[in-house]
Amino acid sequence: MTLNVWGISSMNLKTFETKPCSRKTFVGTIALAVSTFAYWASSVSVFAAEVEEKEKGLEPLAWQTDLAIWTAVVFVILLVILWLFAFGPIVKALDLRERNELARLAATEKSAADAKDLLRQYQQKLEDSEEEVRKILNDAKTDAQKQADAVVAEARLLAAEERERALRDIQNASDVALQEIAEKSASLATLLAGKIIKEELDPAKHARLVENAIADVAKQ
Amino acid sequence: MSGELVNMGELAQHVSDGSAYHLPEFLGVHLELPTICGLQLTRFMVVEVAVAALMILLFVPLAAKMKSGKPLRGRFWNLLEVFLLYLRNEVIVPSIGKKDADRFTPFLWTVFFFVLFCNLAGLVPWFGASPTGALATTSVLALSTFVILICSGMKKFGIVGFWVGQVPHMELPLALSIFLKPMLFVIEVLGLLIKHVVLAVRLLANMFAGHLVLAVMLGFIAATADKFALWIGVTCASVFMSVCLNMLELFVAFLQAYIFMFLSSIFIGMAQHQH
Repeated sequence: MTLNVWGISSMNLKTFETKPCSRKTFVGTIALAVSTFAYWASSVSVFAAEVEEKEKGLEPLAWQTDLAIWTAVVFVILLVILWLFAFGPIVKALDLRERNELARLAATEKSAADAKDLLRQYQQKLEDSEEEVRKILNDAKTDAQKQADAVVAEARLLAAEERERALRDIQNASDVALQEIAEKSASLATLLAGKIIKEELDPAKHARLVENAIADVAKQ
Repeated sequence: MSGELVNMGELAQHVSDGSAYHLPEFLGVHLELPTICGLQLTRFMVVEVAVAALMILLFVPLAAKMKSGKPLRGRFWNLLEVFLLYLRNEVIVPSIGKKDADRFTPFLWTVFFFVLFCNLAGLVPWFGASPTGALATTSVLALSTFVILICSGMKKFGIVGFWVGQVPHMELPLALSIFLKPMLFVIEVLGLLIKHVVLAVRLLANMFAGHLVLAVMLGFIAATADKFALWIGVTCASVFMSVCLNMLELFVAFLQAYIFMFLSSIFIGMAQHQH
């Protein structure tokens, strides 16, 4: 259930929730309230002035209507002047400065983020370059090893071939020598056999004969 | 203490309002303030106008310098800006909230510096006592906070909405709520009024009591003037204590201005964010 109270605002009687009034209604109601208050205040001030007159010079904390009105006037004029020419513009200036600072801060943060990004990119590039250099060095090392291995293998092959040839030559020479020895032995045996047949041999002669034959072979 | 030489009435005249300036006797000047259109000017009125003029002279040029939004140059202007920024960022914004704070910041700055300079005026020799040592001044300042609070609250929540909003939200049966809520409303509204009365009385009591203690302390010197040996000792002790108390008064001047503004911003914040 809602109720319109004095045309000022609408209020739900159960929940006591209200909606704000319009600016026009608000100003009108405030003006009414202020004029009522002013009437009441003037009545009170007359009463206070009477009390003040009785207390004057006796009580240091007595109410001073003149001072109250003077203070109110001075304070309101001061407030209006400062609001218009000092504190109002200062609040705006502080807001402006705050906005500028925030914008500058945002720009700085963006620059810092960009710089960090750039640094990360450069670090990545550096790491890539290092990796590439490492790879090149590894490749070079592998190639060099391969070439060295090939050279060593070739050298070993050549050495083996050389050795084979030398051995073959030695074998050939040995074979030739043995052939010659065999031929000489055969002829010597034949010669020896001829001599044995010619004279009878006792064991001592036989041994001397063999020694002589060997010595001949050695001389030859 | 010699009652013939000093009485509390005379002492009170040095810390309360009056229509004449008590300058030293050797100057031979007795400054009686004039009456304008039936209104007798008093020392407090003169001090208030001087304070207002000083504030305009300080803050209007400061605003002109800050208009560009660039940082200020010069120690003095930076000092003023430090005050303003501290009050705004550390007191007003936390109390009222970022969204609404800037609407009330000029008023609260004005209240703070007006109270501060009025408090400090009491420490300036022969300038007159602090206007904040008068109930009329502190009441008007508290009333200004009250009016700002009520008007801003009613503007935000509507006239009925603001007053109804003084009652905390409670899930009560309708019959009980009709009985309890009006009682709570009366208590809350009385609390609202009392808070502002206390705001005025707190500032008044602190400033008046401080100045009165200082005056009494110095009054001991006059009270013992007829006994030379005692007078020497009492004078030294009184002057030393007065210097210490003046230091304390200097601190109290800032503290009370801060408390007045701090409580005002809290009250306004409470009106902007109801139960």
